Amino acid sequence: MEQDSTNFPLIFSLLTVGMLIMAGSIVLFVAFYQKKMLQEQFKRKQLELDYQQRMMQASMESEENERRRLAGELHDSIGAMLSTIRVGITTVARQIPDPQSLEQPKQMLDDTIQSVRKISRDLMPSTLEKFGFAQAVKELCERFHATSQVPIQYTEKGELKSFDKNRELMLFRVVQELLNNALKHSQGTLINVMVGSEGEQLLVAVEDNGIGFDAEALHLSTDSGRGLGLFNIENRARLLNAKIEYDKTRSSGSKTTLIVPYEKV
Amino acid sequence: MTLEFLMLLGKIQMALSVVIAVLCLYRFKSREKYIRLIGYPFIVGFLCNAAGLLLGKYQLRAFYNVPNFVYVISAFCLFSAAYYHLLNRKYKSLFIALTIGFLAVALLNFFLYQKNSMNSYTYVGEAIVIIIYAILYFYKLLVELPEQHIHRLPMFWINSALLIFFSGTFILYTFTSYLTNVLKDDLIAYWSFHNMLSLFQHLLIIVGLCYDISRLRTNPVAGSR
Repeated sequence: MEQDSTNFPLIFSLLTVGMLIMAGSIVLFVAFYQKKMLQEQFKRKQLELDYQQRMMQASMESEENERRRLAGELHDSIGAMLSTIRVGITTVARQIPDPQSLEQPKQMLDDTIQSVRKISRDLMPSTLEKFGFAQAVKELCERFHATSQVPIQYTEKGELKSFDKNRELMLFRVVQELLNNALKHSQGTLINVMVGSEGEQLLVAVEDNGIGFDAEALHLSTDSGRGLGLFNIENRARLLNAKIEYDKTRSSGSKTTLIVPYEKV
Repeated sequence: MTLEFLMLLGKIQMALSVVIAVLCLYRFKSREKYIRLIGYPFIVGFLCNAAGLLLGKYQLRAFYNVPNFVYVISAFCLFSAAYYHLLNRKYKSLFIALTIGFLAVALLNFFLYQKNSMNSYTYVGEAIVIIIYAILYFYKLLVELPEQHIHRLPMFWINSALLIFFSGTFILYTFTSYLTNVLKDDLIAYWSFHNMLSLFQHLLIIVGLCYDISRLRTNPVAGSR
């Protein structure tokens, strides 16, 4: 009994300390292991995101290649053929007694040639490849103005640097979509397009005085058709490492600003 | 270790129980259910401690066990309910089996085995079950990874507090009967250690509740499991 009473505090202390160490180890293990698991999860998500981004880029590149091919075919094959037909009609018109009778088909052919050129240009703007992004946007504004009759003001600020052709094309598509949206949905009477440089970033802003839109509501919309343009814009922006800002402070109209780093990150 | 020191620890423990109860009752309706459930045992604990002191003062030896019995039963049921909610109402049959088993042991012990001494076997049962709950909750945390900074999760602190307290006191509860009946020890030293662990437990729970309140202030609708 005496032996028991002298040894007991030691046994008790050892067992209790053992239990406490076990409990403390469990707490520490959970704290550290959870951190490690989160890091792993983050890495996995990053890889998935990279993969998705690459897939998206590949899909957009193939889309652009297909557009380029179609534009080329339309311009060089169908366009050339139509031009040849026009020359033929003009020649025939000189040889027949009533050349006026061919005036109407000739006019229709001219319209068709114009349409083919327009489609070809929309599919792949040659100005972009020849003269760069700013000139292509300027031309786009002029074309949209000509077709919609809505005044589109184009302004350029600072010295613009040129960048990778594929990125320029992607950015051009974003501007094209923004202008399209402004014309189709804003009900505005004036559109401003600004392209400028700020440090190592290119700024592109499209602004209108129409009814405005709620980007968050469009994101949350369950209607699969709604917000698709916005979704495409944001996908392209992500591939460009660009930031999109929707001006939420204005009471009327809308302003979307795209901030694109010149250097691809 | 003296009786005065033990009493002092007991009084500090009672004060901290009140602090915990107040922290749990603060903005009661917007608190998560498990926080509300965890608050109650500390209110009951405070009341039972106060009742124990009164019984001691008036030398009502026949009822010495009653406050502790009430406390251990209610604390067990409330902690079980809190863990049941925390574990997404999974393991329902395990919870029911453990609760029924525990209640049976506690009642048998109170009325048959340890009628006139401290119900230490009931405490052993409670400690084992709470340790199981705490480990299950940590397992859930590892599987679900709900938060990047785990220390900001109120339940991480509360669960750690319960795990450490019940692990530390498990051996004491197991040997209480042996100590009092065989070694005839007055338990003051052991019970002082118990109360110190309890203070540590209370402090950890207060840290968790402070995190919960700060979370409540910054994001009133966020869950914090």
